[in-house]
Amino acid sequence: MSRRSRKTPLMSQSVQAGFPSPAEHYIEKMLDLDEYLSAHQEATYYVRVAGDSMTGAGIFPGDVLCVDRSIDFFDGAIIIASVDGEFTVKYLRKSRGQTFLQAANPNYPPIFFGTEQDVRCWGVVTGLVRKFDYGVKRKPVERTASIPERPPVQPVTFQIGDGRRRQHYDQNLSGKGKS
Amino acid sequence: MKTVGLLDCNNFYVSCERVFDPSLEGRPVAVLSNNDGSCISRSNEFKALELPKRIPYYMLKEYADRLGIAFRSSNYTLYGDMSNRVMKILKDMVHLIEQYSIDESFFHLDHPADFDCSEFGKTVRTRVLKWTGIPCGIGFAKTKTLAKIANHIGKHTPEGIFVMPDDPLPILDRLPLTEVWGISWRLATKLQNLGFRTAGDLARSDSCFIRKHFNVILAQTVTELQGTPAFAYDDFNGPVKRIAFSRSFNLPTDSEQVIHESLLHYTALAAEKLRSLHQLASCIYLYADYTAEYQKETLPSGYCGHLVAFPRPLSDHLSMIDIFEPEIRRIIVPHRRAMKTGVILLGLENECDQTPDLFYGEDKKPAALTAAMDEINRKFGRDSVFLLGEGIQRKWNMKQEFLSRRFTTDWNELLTVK
Repeated sequence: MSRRSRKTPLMSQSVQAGFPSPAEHYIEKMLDLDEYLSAHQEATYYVRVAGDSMTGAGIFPGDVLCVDRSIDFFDGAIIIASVDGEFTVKYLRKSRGQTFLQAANPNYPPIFFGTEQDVRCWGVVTGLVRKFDYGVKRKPVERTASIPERPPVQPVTFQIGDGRRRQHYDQNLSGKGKS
Repeated sequence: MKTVGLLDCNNFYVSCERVFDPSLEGRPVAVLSNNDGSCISRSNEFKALELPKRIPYYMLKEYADRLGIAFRSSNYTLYGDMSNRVMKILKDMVHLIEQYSIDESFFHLDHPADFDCSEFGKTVRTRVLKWTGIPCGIGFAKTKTLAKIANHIGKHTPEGIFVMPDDPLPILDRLPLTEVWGISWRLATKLQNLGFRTAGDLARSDSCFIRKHFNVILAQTVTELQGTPAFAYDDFNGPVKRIAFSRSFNLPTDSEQVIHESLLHYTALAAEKLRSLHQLASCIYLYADYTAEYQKETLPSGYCGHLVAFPRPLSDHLSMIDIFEPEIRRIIVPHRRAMKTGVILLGLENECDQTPDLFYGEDKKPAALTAAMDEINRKFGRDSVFLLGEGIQRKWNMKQEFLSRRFTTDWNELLTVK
């Protein structure tokens, strides 16, 4: 028979015996923009906008677009396509038997498929991320200047107990109460 | 019924580059090895030029414009991410995958007898192509060795898919020995001397005979060619056992400072990886590769390495460097030019499994400092903070003239669209 040591192991870490968090069972995973913007992470790519051809659709230079390549192309989708080896973001349109790329800016003419230009669809844009670049010239706003003061809340007066108990309580706190 | 499949991406590095640069479509493209040495991945158009395999870049340079060749330096950050995407897509469609290399993966199917492997392969291939833009070929067979052959045949068909028939002998009879997985040119010559001419001859042989005259691996290959799985499921994605980091210099050098700086720099990079895996290393192997010399006298190439053990497992490179710095001179060979240095972190163990050392009071400062450095480098880009000993200009760093951007892993290097 093997002889087992019955010594209690010495714990190197102290036991945390606090009150468990009441939110413990309600915590879910953190929000993930990737998951919100596209269906399949492995088909998701991000690209940065460099032109003004889609300003009418609310897409401005510097914006980051989320592109999901797993989605099938459809009429009216905002897509990323390559035109003669250069990437562009445009509406994909199908009308009167013709497929073309349409800008959301009147300065840009439509680009038709099946002409001399080599047009290839790359992916469907499913979302947009814009980071506000406030720059360095941030002026702190004085609280009093912009936010009107609210009238102070009047404290409600009420009495607890009859005063005698209050005294007992204080005594207990100071350790002078009965043991 | 059990079937093994092998998915293999076509000209993987070139395909990755083409996804983000359509101007490379339809023309000869080559991805160069580290330090822009030789061509390691070539497009079909490049292969059609019938230049020698692995031709060095400097020989091609002059003709590049005339032949319309586009070059790219190897961008492993991008290839690694694209590889993960391909493998994830495959993983979600099959029972079990065994990633074999950056662009190849075996997968296992357990299916009813009337299952159409070819149709399934088409679905996988279409999805990988659509979701990542990378073309791939898929081969199906009873065993891994046969799947490898099926994949090879599939690559030369327009669909990219090939299912090995139940009787593979007619196909194997037309296959040279060197096309079989694991049979080198030298081994093939030996077999030819014994009268084996094709893979079919090998499949008809007796595995016991082969085992007696060659080795177990070749005997297993014979069994596999006969349609019985012999190579077991092998998880290539097991826990990391070592972390290595090495690079060639742009030019061979005899400068001690360069060797010193490079070793410190590679240690910093390897240790960063180590920390990201929450592991500790118990020793480090330093080495330098020296070039062959033909100038005054002929000297062979060779390497010089030295193993340094740490007093306790470490993850911060500050302590590591303190320990191994005096040992660096051991790998420096005077009057010889080094072309490459490297570090390998060995004896890895998990951070949480570590036994605290009774005698070495643990100094928490270096660990906290490196954690802060990692955080800064993650936020503001690689090399925002580094040790002075790693060198500031790093002129010895390898050439990457044609490096594309890290389109998928860095917010500052995203693809731009107009």
